[in-house]
Amino acid sequence: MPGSGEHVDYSIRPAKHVERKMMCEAFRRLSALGPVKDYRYVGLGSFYFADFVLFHKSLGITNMCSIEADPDAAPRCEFNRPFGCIEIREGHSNDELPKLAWDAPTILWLDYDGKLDESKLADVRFFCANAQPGSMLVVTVNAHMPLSSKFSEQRIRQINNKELTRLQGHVSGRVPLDVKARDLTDWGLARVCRRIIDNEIKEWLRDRNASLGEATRLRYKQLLNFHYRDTSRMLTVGGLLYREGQEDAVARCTFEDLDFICGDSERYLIEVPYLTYLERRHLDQRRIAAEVASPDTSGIPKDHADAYGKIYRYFPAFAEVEL
Amino acid sequence: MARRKANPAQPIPLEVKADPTKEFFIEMLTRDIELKHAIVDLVDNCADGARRIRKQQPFDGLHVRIETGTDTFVIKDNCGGISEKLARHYAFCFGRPAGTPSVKHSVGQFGVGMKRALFKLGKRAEIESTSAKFAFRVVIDVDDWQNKPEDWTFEFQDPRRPKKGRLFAKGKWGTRIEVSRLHPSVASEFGLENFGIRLGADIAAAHLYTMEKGLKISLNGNRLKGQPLTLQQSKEIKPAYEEMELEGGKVKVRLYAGVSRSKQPREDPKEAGWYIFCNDRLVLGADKSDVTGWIGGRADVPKYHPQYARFRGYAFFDSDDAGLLPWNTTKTGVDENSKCYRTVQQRMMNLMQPVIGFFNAVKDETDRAEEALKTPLRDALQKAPLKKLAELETGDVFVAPKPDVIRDGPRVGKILYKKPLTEIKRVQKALGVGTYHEAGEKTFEHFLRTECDD
Repeated sequence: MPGSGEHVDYSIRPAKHVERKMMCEAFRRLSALGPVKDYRYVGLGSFYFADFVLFHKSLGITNMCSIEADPDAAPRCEFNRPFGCIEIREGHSNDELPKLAWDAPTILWLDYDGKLDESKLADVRFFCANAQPGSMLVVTVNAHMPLSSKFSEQRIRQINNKELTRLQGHVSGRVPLDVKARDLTDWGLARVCRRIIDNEIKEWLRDRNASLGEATRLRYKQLLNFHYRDTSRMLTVGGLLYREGQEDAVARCTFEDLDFICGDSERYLIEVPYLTYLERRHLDQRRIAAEVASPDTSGIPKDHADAYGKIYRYFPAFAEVEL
Repeated sequence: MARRKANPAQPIPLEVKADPTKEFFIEMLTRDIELKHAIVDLVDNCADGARRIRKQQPFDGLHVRIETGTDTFVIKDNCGGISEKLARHYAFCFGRPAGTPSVKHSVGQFGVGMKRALFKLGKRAEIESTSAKFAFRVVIDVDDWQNKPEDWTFEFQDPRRPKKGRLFAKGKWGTRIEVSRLHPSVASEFGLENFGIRLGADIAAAHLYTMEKGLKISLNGNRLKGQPLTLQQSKEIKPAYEEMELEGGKVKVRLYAGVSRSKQPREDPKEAGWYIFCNDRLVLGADKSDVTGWIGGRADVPKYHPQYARFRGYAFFDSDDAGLLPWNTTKTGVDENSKCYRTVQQRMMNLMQPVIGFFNAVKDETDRAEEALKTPLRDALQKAPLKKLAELETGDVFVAPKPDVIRDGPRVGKILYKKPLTEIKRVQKALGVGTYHEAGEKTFEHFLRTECDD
């Protein structure tokens, strides 16, 4: 089966682009725990390697591993490998993660394109049982539900019921008791998936901690809870695994200074407004000269301008170039 | 080491000490039961309370509310409360004393459930109850109680009886148990949402029928719902059903064996197997072991295999005397040595053999699907709707269609090969087709037409 790389150019999806840059900024703050360049990055790079390129160039990470589940894509991945320091492992993440050495802090981005299921939770569990303190886990899953306002109530009920049945079948015994089919509407599925992943992390860390002493016990601090949509609704949830004794160092990371950091069920919605280059430049200039509160006569819709204001530092710039 | 020699002149004492110790109940007995099952045991008491006051009537208006927090555990019901006689002489005894008033069709039998659950949960328990003619509170401080090895009593606090000739208001009848100073491992479990999900599923499965009778059970504010038991039934497929009476007619047994399917799009093998109920309480679910007859062997029921993922069997043991039922004390399995169960186990195997045979035939049919154009067994299996047990039309033996032996048209075979995607796409484009299947068929037809002699 071809992966989503066959259908989507990962490097130019604007919301994904913003997400990647935000994550990069969060990872940079791990320096309070140790040199970020010494981290290992493990991802599911497809053949675009957009995340690998960014994290290598911005963070200096050289210990990199991309897991590619599609055997047909492996030669193409090899061909597109942007840096020699990236090791490509052909196989399913369930099989490949256990083959890696887990003796160094790792940033693991399980950037799936499918919906949450038992196999994805197995990777989460593996990380929780094996990752070193200081490691970051990030999980992206498809949490798509159609826009409810486009359908009749009855049709939405059908869609929700079907999705709840699917979810119950795919993450057997993990759907919280209070979740009803109607709770999955729109971004509801993403909210429920975050809870399921979070519950899994808590349970596996609890079990791992059972035999550890007080100072060596591990904690998980959620940092990311992105909702974004280039085509499908997607959820990215992630956080830091650290030792109880590392709390001061974690505080020095000052993650909370970044306004996209979300430590609980509160999400950060990445909205990328459609703006022309001139409009962006106009908004950027006004931002720098914020004290000049002259009325804006550009005609840019306010919600576009506001959305841009939240993410302008991470806003993608795509241009056609002759190479 | 020198050994002290026995003095042959002294008489040998005959007495052998066999007193129970409190440690046995507090620390040992509790190891034999999972936390979830201990809580289900407490729900059993509520269900028996409902049976006591409603007899055969529906349980509408009765509820059980369970709250699991990291500091306390609370279970509260309005199922009639504990009478003075029951509370004073039986409910707090370790084991079931002879003469314990019985509730017909009860699920409480061994006289250990409540105490074991309380010890399993924590170090302090407070039991409050109001029944028609008696209200009381009992506080158990486990450490204090353990420190008085000879004292096997508890004390009523604030015991009350209504004025002569009166009853306590019906709306107040019920029992509330609060356990605090939870064991760290229990508090840790209660802190996990995943534990609550599993606990909810276990309670819902165990008390499916009690809930169907109208008892509302909620966990942390969420109403629990059970999955009704179903089997597939159509004109072509009929489940097997058998009923019998054992122990001089005191135990009634009903057995169903047939096929079902998961609610999920993909069949979930976890649901396959036998489900055994004693007085409507599930004691063994989705069992695929030799306990329910999957013993393996040429002439018997085989060991479970995923090709039997759609097998479902339901065994109901019912008796007014719960002591005659073949359950273990944790109600998480059957007493295999019980005469009653051994007899029924044979019948279960008899009933399931034709169903197993059917699954084997379905597999054969699937295996030769390359050459057979008809797949009546698979078709029947797909078409037969799910029906609740009460709505089923059954037979003495499992009924299923016969495999297809007459083939329509020429024998066929299947060709399977892999090619690079890019090449397949080129072929698809050249042929103007959208699927790999069509690409394969059209290229074969083209070759046959152009390259093969007639």
